[in-house]
Amino acid sequence: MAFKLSQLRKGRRGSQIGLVVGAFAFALAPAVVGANVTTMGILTQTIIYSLVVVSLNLLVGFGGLVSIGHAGFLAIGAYAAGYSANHLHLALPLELLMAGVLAGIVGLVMGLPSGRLSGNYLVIITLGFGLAVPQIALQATDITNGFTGLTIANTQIGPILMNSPKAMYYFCFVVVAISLVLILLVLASKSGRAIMAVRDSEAAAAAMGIHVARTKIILFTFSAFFCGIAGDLFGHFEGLVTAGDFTLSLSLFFLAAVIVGGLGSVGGSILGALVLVYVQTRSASIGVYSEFIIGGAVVVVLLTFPGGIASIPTVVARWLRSTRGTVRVPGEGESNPGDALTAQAGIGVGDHQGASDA
Amino acid sequence: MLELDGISLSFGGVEAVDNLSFEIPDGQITALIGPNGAGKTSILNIISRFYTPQHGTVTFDGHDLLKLGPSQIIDLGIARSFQNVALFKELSVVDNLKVGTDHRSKAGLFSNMFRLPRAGKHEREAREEAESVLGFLDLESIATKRAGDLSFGHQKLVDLGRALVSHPKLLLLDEPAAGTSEGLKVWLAEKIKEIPEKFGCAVLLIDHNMVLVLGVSEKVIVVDFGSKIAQGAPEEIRRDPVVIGAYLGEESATELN
Repeated sequence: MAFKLSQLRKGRRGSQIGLVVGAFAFALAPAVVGANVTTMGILTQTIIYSLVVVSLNLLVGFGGLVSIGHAGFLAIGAYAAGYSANHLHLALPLELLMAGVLAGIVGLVMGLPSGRLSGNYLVIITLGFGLAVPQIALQATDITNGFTGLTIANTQIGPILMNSPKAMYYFCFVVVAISLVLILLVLASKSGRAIMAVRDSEAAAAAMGIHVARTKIILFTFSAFFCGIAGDLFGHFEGLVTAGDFTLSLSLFFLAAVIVGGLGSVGGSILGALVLVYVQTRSASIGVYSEFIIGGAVVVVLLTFPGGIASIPTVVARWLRSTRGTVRVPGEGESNPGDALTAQAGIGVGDHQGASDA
Repeated sequence: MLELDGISLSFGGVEAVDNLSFEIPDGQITALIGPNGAGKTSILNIISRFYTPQHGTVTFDGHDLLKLGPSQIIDLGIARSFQNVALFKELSVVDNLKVGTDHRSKAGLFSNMFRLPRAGKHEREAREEAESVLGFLDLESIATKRAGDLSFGHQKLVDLGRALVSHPKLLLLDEPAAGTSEGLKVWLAEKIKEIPEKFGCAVLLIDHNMVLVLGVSEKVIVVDFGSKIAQGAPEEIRRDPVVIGAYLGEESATELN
């Protein structure tokens, strides 16, 4: 064969290196920037938000579906953490699984109409969900402790009590890292291809044996599952969760982070989460302008780098090559018979008979 | 192998297909031709289950196709290409082809998430088969490119490759050469001729390019206004006065002879 596995991986190598470097950066961050409460808090929140933003990107960027109520899944995970820590006292892995499964079940129910409805309806459904969850949280006082908020006991792994910011950070780091690896494995598999195939062409996906509606429902469940796990971490991290923590505005911030980071990029979503947490922590001094800044960032990114922060290296590389004059795209074979037609493609498109035959 | 019997399909009173019956034999290239709007693509869309006819039956290897949905027929061995290419444009060429193999894998989300042995095995097989089809279509050099960045002609080839890699028993090709250069049309005709033997499948070919159609097919079915007006070997079709009148026109007929 003329091309090898190594060549197949070449396209992905850049982003893979980025993710590994990022993982090391987060692992070593406490040692570098100092493990004080404030920086550890910012880093922990970034890590948790990374999983939220990646889970939303699965839906929006990889699946072409929309959710503007993802904070709702975060809430489900957070209250699950609280209920387990205060009442059920489940072992941590079980608790995380419960948080994910509960959010996943709600995601499944919400995903059911996504197979039949177009994007606009999905926006309304997820909007309703995002608005309803804080209201339900206020009413369901038995679980959420209503307006006062739910205090979540310190979590424990075996004999280790997660009562230091550093311990909490590494706990979140491990859970999020494992989650992201699982997500990346899915994306690189048949299941991931099905998700993206449905996004790019539902007709072709169906013809290739992909059940379009089922794929969308599974995707919704999958996304909600990981957002629920992030919610569990969020609950332990915050220690106190109230209905007001899960506003519609937070959902929109997550969506903004997906776009700023880059649709369809896991690494980009982590960067998007970083930007989001940065702006949020500054909001104490900039006040209401944080919403303005996030909104502005979305507009600027869409106008300059529609592919988000993740696309900047590619855009810059392309720009550098074009300024140097000759562009030799690797892998462009001269002997390829298909090349002969490249010049005529433009004429051909208008030439064929279009939909008139249908 | 494939049998259409008394198929009628109308859209709001407009008859797209009218009481049409034909059979496609195993292991051969059958061409379906007809003027614009004759109902060719509608017929293809009925076979690939995007449209459901109001009357008639479609049987494939003893299965009643009309009972199945569009995503189920690939498991019976029916794969198709698209007239106006419907590639997964954000995926690489090789990933587009892998999707063509994915229906054979029983690995679900869970197996894929933990890369269980069955998931890994499928990934290896998918890559090997994609490589072999890319080799057949001379596309190895663009294997890692994003499908949406390719020229129209390359996209047509990837579209064909994606259907081929699924191990079809019946391959439906909707104008595989439309909008491509003359050079590619000739090359593609040779490749399509090789398909039945190399991949062990029958081909149903729709195309406007008469050189391609008459050159590669063993059997030609001519439709006009949704009905079959002629059927036979390419040489017979070429001389059939009804076909010449309806489709080829006097000028084209002289050209071909």
